[in-house]
Amino acid sequence: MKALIIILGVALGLGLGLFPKFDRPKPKWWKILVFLIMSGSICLSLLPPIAENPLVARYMSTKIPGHVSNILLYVKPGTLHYHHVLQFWNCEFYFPGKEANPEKLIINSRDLPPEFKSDKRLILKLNYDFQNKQFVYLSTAYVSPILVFPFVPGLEQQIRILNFHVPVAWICVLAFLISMIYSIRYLRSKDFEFDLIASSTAGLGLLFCVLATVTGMVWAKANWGSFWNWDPRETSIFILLLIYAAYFSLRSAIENPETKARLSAVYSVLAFITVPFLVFILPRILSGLHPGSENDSTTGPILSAKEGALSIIQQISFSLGFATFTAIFFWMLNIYIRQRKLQQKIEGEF
Amino acid sequence: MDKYFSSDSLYVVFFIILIIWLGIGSYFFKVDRKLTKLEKSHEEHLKK
Repeated sequence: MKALIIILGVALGLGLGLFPKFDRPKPKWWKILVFLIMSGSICLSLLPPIAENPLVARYMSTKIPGHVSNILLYVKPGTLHYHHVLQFWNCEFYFPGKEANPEKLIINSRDLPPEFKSDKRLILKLNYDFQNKQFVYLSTAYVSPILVFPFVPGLEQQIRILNFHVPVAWICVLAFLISMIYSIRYLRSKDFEFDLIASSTAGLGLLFCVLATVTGMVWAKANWGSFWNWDPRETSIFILLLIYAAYFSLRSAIENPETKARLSAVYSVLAFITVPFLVFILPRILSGLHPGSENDSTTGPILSAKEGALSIIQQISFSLGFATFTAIFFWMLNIYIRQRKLQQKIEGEF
Repeated sequence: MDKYFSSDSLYVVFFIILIIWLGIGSYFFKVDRKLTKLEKSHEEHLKK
C-alpha cells in the first residue's frame, strides 16, 4: 500500500512534468495546479501535530527521564473520577484501531481545564512518572486536531523534513538520468538541441543535489548533533556534487561548440554510471548513520514494512512531496530550456 | 530540541517556508510570462 501511494505520487509528478513537452510553454491551469499542490504539500507536511500513544510515552520516559510527551487522548467525560486537591481519573487513551487501555492521569490544577468537559480529541503534554506509574498533566497542546502524525521514536518532529529531503534527492537522480539520455541522443544525432537539454538538466540536477545536501545537513544537525558527519551517504553525495561540478568546468573550458557538446555528452554518460553506485549501493554496504546502512537493523520509515512506521497521512504527504518537486523540476527545466533556446536564436541572428 | 518544538516555533518555520515558496512560485509565474512574451515578439519579428 505504501509503495503504491509513493509510486502514484511519482507518476503524478512525471505525468504533470512531461505535459505537454519539455520545451513547450505550460498552460495556465498547469502552473496554478502545481502552485496549489506545492502549497498544500507544505501545509500537510508541517501543520499536523505529532502525537504519541501512551506506550511510546512510557518507553521514551525510560530513555529520557522527565521527557515531555504529546499524547493523543480521547476524552470521555463520563469516565472522570475526582479527588479534591490532586484531581485524577481513570481515562481511556485513544489507540487508533486498537483496544483502549485505562491509565491513570494526574492533573495538578484544582480546576479541570474546560476542554476536558466535552467529548473531544486532545493532544496533551504529559510527563510519565515511572515510580507511581501515572501520567502527570502539564498542558493541553491541541484541541480537536484534524490530522495527527504519529510519533516516530528517534525522529519525532524531524520526520517532517522527510517530505522535502527525499523528493529533492530523487529529483537529483532523475535529472542526471535525463541528462544521460539526452547526451546519448546527442551522440547519435549530433543535434545541438539535445546537448542543450542535457546540459540544462545536469545544471538543475546539480542545484537539486545541493538542496538535498543542505536539507540533509539540517536534518543531521537535529538528529545526529552536527551538520556533517562523513556518513557514507553524505560522502557519496559530496562525490556526486564534485563529479557534476567537473561536468560544468569541462564545458566552460572548451570553446568549440561541437567539441564541447561531444566531450560533455561522453562525460555525462560516464558520470551517470557512478550515480546508482553512489546513491543506492555504497551507502548500503558500508556502516553509517543513515537508515539502511550495513550496521542498521532497521530499513528506516520509508522502506520499512512495519505497520505504523509511516501513517497514511504521512504517506500521502510524502507522495505529494514527490509529485510537487517533480512537477516543479520540470517547470524550472521548461523555463531554462526555453530561455536558452531563445538566447541562441537571438545570438544566431547577429 | 524539545524546547524548540514545545515553544511552537514550528508555526514560525511553517510561515517562513510558505512565504519563501510564495516568493519562488510568483517569480516562476513572472519569468514564464515574460519568456512567453519574448518568444511571441521574436516570432513576430521573424515573420516581418
